[in-house]
Amino acid sequence: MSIAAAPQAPARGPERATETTQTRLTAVPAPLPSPMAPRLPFVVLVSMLLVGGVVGLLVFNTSMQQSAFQEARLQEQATTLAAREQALDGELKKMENPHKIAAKAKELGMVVPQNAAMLRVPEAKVEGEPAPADRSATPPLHPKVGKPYSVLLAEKKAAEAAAAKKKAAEDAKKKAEEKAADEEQRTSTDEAR
Amino acid sequence: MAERGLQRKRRRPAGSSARKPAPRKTQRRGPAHIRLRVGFILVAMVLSVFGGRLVQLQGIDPYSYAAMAAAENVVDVVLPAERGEILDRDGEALADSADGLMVLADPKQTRKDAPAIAAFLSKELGVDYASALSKLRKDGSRFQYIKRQVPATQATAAVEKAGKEGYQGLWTSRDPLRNYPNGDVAANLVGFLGNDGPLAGLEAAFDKHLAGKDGHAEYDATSPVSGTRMPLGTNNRVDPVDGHDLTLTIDRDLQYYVQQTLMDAVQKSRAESGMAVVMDTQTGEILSLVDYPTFDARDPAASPKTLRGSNALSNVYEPGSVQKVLTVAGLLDQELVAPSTRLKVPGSYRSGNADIHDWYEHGMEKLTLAGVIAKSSNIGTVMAADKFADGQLRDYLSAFGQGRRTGIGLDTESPGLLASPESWTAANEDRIDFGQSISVNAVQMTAALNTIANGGVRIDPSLISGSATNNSGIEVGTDTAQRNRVVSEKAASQTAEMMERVITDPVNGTAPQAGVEGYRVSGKTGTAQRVNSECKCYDGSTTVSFGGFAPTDDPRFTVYVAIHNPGNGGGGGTVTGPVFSQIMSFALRRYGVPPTGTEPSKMPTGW
Repeated sequence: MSIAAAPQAPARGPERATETTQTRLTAVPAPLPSPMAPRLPFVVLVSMLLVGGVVGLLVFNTSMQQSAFQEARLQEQATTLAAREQALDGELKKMENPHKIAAKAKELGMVVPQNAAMLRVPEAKVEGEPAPADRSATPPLHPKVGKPYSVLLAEKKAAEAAAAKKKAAEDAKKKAEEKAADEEQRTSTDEAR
Repeated sequence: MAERGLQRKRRRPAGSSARKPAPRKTQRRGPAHIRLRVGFILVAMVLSVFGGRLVQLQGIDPYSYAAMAAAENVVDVVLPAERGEILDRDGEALADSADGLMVLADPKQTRKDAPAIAAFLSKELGVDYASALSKLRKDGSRFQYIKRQVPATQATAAVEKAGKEGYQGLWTSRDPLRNYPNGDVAANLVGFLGNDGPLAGLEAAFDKHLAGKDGHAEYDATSPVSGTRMPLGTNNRVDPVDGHDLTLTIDRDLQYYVQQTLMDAVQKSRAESGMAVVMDTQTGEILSLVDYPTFDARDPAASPKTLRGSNALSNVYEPGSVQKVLTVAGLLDQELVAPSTRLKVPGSYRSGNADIHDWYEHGMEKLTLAGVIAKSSNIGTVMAADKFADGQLRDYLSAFGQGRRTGIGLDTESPGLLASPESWTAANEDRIDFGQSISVNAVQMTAALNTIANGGVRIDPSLISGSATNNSGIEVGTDTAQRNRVVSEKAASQTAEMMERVITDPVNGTAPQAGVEGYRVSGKTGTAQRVNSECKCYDGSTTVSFGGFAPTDDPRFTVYVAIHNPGNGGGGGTVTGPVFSQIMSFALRRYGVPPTGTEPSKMPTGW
């Protein structure tokens, strides 16, 4: 607060007090029509805010919806691609099945060596006698790749049993036919007689 | 208000006379108070309808509508956790999971076309027509499984095709698929997964370790079928926790080789079955554990139930003469005998109320202890083992791991049979000396032989690399394998040299076929009579076996092969010896083990 203002205060105080006590009730002159505050910019501002808000919200919502759809689409695409990768990986793993590799190797005429000579590089020495590989250490392939032998054995037995049954049935049929033929012959000879 | 309205009405005619058009207007609209009243009544009616509806919604039945709204749009999907893989020691997958899909149906939409859709599905996915039909028609359901674990590409193609043919209400969701790319290789260990869960092998024993925990997601969707998420809607998501991988000590390629070699031997000897174990001598890791016949993990239903596990672990049998090695190692550890100890072996030996014979007829024979092992003399072994004090043999065999589970992690393992101290008799002990009246599983026997190979220290065999907790809550694996000294290093190396004479002794050796060219190999044959489980008696069939390790002076692998009931009458040396040799030779080469270059033992076998 300024020092200059201080002494003025007491002087003004009593003066105003007397004024209020002495003033009589009179009609106050109508307040001058204040210069009209321009109403239009305010209305425009508010409506712009409103419209802007609504439109903004709408655009925001729409874009959210859009991105939700896009997310779903991309998710699906990612899933499809991942599935494809998995399928290919699975195929690769199936090809790495030792049974398959052994079968391919056999097709190429490869065998498991029955023994190997050792080469000692630092000493420049060969240990053991190198000999060409033969088939003696190569185990046979599965009778059919992918099916365990026990299953094949069971199938073979079943097939044999079925064949035996069929043969027995055929034999019986043949016998019956022969018998019939015999009888026929007999009857025909009887007739001839 | 009504009063004022009346006053106004009274006043109006006075004013109306001044303006001519006004009365006409008033007449047309009707008096103001009537208009007000009508308006008021209309507003009141509308408001009371609203009020009534409010009471109905909030007061009488507040939840049914909320539930209906939720059922309409909230989607709750399970997010399946990916099951851990089962890997071999090099990280090759023995069992792995792929992103399969489940095909789902919304019966509300499929009901009208149910027969056509069911026919379509049975053609495309191979599902049962009748059960598909009943699912597609299910009342009050909007979610039915049509088929689970379908390869993703197949499922997607089927659902797309259905859409093109105009069938609505089918969709797919993630459902991991279990693959066994190696078919029957190691299937005896890995086991398999049924539709409802794991059914055998490690898949069952380590289910909790492998399984992981499913998560789920609940969200508002634009439609329950498309599953497109509504932004700013409810969104609760619990992420799935994938299962852990399980790394085995198995070497897949070695496993294959052993399996094929064993298969060949079983078929050629017209035997019933066979089993083979390869163990890393220094670590106790099981490199391969093979059963033959076995099953295909991709198609378990094609094989009988008894083959869908590891008989090498679950079936016990009398080990026969291979057991002599353990007896003699104990004797050497106690320094009761030496490899050169001279024995006069008669043709028959009285024990209890029966005679013990050898597998070949002979008169009085002069054999050293090494000769007893090389020639596999029952009588010689019993004579040497008579030097044991009471209970000593049992303590040794127990320390070798007989009579208790090896604890490699599979619950199906049988502990075998080692007579308790109470039921132990001298006559029993004589038979146990050479491998009768005791039963073991193949892994127990391998671990016991491995003790000799590993300088007298037994290592718990392991099938799991690192460590993992099985369903019984037991932590198993190489990390938890215990090492215990059973016999002295000297006793172990003496036993190993005696076992070398089984292969190298030109006169008394029983298994010259088991050698590996260029390497020193130790081994022991076994031919045991089999106990028929029906009559509890020896039925004349045999179990032939061969166990050993190489190189003799620095063993790297212990291999054990047993074949049940060979139809060609062969023994341990002729049937299993060559199999042992092939497997050992392959393992030594595969792991690049050089020959030790030392001279084989010339320990005398006779005197």
